[in-house]
Amino acid sequence: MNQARILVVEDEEMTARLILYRLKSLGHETRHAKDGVEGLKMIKEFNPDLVVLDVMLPGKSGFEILQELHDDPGFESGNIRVIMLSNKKSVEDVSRGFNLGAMEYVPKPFKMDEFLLRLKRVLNQ
Amino acid sequence: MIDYLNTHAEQIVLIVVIFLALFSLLVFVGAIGSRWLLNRSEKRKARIRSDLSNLVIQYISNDISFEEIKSELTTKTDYAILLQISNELDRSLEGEEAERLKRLMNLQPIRSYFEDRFESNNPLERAKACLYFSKKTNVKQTLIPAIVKQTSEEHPMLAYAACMVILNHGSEEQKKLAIENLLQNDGLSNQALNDIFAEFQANSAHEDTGGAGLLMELIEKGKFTDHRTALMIRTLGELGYFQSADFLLEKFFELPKTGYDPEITTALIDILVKFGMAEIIDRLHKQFVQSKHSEVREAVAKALGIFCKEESIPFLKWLLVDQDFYVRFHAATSLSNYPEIDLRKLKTPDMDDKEYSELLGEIEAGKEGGY
Repeated sequence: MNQARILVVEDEEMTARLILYRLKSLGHETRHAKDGVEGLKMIKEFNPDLVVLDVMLPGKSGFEILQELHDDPGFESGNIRVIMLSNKKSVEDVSRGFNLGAMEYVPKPFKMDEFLLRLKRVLNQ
Repeated sequence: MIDYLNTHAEQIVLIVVIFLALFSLLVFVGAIGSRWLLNRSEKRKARIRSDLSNLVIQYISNDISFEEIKSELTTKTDYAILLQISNELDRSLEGEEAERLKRLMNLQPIRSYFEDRFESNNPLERAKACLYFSKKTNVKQTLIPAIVKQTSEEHPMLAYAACMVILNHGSEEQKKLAIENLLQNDGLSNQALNDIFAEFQANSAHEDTGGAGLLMELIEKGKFTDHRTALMIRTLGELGYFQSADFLLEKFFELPKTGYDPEITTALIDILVKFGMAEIIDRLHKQFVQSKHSEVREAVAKALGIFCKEESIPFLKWLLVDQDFYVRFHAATSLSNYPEIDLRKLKTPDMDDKEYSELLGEIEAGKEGGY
């Protein structure tokens, strides 16, 4: 997928800006949500091909967003690819993310090139 | 005088009214003016931050060179904002981008800016300078003794930041002294203490035992408050220093029969349970189940449910009728871990029907949620 619609749900401003900058320079259409509530709303409105979703968010956590999308009968959550982003590295968090439909889990701190490589892989799946 | 007032009453009232009106106008204009100035300063800061963010992002993404960003920064930079941006990015990045960020923060004008801040009388400014030093690859060795002194400052942020510098750039002795000073700071949070020991461990010459060894040494010295000692015990557990299990067990058995500190006792029970030290069960049964401190009984109720030994069942049943709600709750939760026990049958006539069914409901919900 050359040009995708990507939503970044991340409360850390600089991390979000950097990711958005790199994604835009690769030609993707991007949007940004700063908290969980706005993120959930934008997922439904923007209908992105991929969501870069931070776990620790104000308002609603990344897990809660995934759970709500999963439980929403009016929403085709299977069409959205999700990459989880978080400081947490514990096995439970990783498996919880995958169980809720995330396709990749990137622990912070990360190397930007590696992150983009994973993102490309997910988009091409 | 009375005649004068009678004759000029109207003029006097008019003067007072005009004076009050002018005064109100002055206050109003002052308030609007100061708000306007504040807004202008906030907007200016936001604009600088936005410009700097774009510049830094372009630089770390390798879209502009080091020389280019250097020439931009020397003319219009607010270094405190730059440090803020750099710290935010530093938490998320590693590899090439993180290296570029480090190189940027090593620029001479930035270094001088923070070295000047370190001389400030304001502890917050000195803390910012220390945070900057802690991120650097090298720090002037002549500054180190002065930074060690800052670790015993009352301002928790300053003491913490100074300790971080020493952990990254000081000798082994200086590191120990810095941590010992910091531990005496009552304003230090649990999270900050964990961060310090995680950093100490990462920089320790003895990678596996450094942090644990130092913590045990400091606990052994016994010169800290009970609250701080309890925090240090919890840090041993939270950072997974399993090598401290025997030491903590010894401390547990050294607790006096009466007059023990509930915070230390609770910390010891929680961490020894985490380390799987079943040797504590007997003393939990014989003594702490009847502690006069509800937090200790609560820790016992939780602990017995984790070990889940058959001989603990009567003690958990005893705690199920405790006067404290949380002790009852944890006793019931622990009893629910025994497959042969039906909690509904354990309700005694003196228990409140509504409360007991709510308690069972919460335990059920907790288990479904995987907690």
